[in-house]
Amino acid sequence: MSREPVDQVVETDVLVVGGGIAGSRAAIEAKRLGSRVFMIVKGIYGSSGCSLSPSVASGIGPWSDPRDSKEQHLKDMVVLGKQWLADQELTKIQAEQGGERLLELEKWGMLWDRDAQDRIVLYPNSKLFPGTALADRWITFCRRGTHAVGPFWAGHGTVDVLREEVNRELVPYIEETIVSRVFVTDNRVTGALAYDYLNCKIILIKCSAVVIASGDAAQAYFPHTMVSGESTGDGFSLAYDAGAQLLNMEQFEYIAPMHAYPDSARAKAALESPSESGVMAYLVNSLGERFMERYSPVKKELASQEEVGWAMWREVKEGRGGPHGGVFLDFRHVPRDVFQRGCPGRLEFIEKLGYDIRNDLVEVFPVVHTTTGGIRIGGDCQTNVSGLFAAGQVAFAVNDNLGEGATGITDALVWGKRAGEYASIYSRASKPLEPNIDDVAEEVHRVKTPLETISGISPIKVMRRLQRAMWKGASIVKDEKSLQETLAEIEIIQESIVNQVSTRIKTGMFNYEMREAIELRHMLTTSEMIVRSSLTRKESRNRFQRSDYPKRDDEHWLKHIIVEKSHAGMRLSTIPVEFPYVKREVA
Amino acid sequence: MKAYREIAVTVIRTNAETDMKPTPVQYWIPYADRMRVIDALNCIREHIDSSLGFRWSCRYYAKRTQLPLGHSSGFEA
Repeated sequence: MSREPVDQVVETDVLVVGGGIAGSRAAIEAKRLGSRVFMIVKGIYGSSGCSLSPSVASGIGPWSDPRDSKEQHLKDMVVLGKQWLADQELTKIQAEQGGERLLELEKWGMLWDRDAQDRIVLYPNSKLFPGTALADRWITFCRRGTHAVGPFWAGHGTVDVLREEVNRELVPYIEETIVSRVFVTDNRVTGALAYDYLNCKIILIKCSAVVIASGDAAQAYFPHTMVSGESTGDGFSLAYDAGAQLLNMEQFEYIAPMHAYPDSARAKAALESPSESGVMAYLVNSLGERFMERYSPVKKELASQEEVGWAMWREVKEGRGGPHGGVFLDFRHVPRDVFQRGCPGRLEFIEKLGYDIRNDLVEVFPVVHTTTGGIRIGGDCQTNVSGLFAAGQVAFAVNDNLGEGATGITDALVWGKRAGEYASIYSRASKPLEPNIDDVAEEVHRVKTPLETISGISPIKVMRRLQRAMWKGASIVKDEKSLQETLAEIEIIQESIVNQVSTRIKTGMFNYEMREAIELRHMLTTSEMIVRSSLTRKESRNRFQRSDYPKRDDEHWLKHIIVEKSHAGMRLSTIPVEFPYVKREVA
Repeated sequence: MKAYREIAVTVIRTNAETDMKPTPVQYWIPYADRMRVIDALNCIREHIDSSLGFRWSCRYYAKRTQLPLGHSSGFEA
């Protein structure tokens, strides 16, 4: 196949896009079932992607309270986590299999935090967010047998363990490579094209099944996001271009009291909620008022994240914000040792930024935690395109939702395993198709364009313009007008700017600009889906808040919003949410 | 809040297109309150020289060593 204009051709059965928890788990499963597997990781395997951020995992297992049950877990995920906007069939699978997947990790070397009697212990600090579930089903990772307090890194532990397992299974993978397109012929996956920006190589992968496990899209709001640099929404755009349906792309999560400046500190929570670990800070505006007394007279700072986020946004919008566009957390009444005991890491970071908590107010504002919509999958993780599978944060299942909390790792493990299993079964049963030669040539041309354009705009500049528009018009609280403005900006970029993108580096290794040029294309498609879905949903639900429709509207909007590709651009439609297990009346 | 001022940032760079020899390059960027190294690098990349590539994923979980390793343990035996 030397006629193809690519530098390298890889033939495999299952291609896994992404090297986080879901991708690794899928690769392990498919390999064990006898398939040839190839993994593509955009960053460095084990040190990149959104899988590293979760600190706790939730599931029902031997650690659970005897009064707790899988039914209760399911109910909490549906009612609190997704506010009814859940696929209950998928949620039930996760409630049932989550504990099993978490325990299985221990066989591969994970150390769940255990007590002296060798029982897995629950997260000691469970009341992280007021108004959420019981939260007594979270477990966490301990390193080298230490029984720890403070922030934990279960995501790190899980990724490390899975990477070792992937290496033991001898799954070939390639790092610093970004997938630019999945090829489809007659609604069947035939392969994919990837660009290795470390060695500047174009790679064609021929495969019968693709598992997309590329994480979320919160980088569309950079720098107002806490998630890693890889989460640029590549998977959503790959699936959309391949013809798959996506669900509820407007849904996302944010955490309210995050540092408001400098940009790099926006990724850090001053506190995850003003009352985290008994610190009980006050939220004040620039006039010194404890403004939560107005918005929620009884609960004040203990109100839900949505209420706190909305109130912060209102205060800033009405001109009572601080110099960096945030409001203030007041710790002056909190004894330092209470803070030190409750949140040592957060206190350390606050002091590292140069604050003295006895005198200074810490400026905070919400940032986007993760997007929670995603590719529509069935119980077998397959999309409506044959051979295209999705798992983890990029798929619409349970995702990481803060209402129930800590579901991210479990979601990635459960759906990663199932995606690997069913992709392997699918690829064994199907006869591989060759990718269409014209599609390949067209995509190679598209990838190479920024290299061949002599002078133009650097991809990072365009990306920042898009990210600013997204934050301005489609973030914490939005309305019709702000969304329309953002959409207009996206359309301007798509029509007249993206084709002017040019890289300064033309030949050398580690061409980071090329990665950004491809990410930019993915991010544009994903952002457009987010904005169009947001325009469609005319209510406020969970952390999706519109100031022109401030109420939750169960009568009209217990519906999933579907985005898919059509000849005339994006087509949006709705389907009613079904309630097979958790019935509406019971709530 | 504060008056506008610029700072000089010296970045030791290698150029893979030519010879990989580490060379210091100086950039002048506006200072932002409580700015950190990655803010400076991002600023250079966006406004001055987009060919400056560096690996980063680290904003949220930079402090991998944050685990209090010496904490009371149930395993001390």
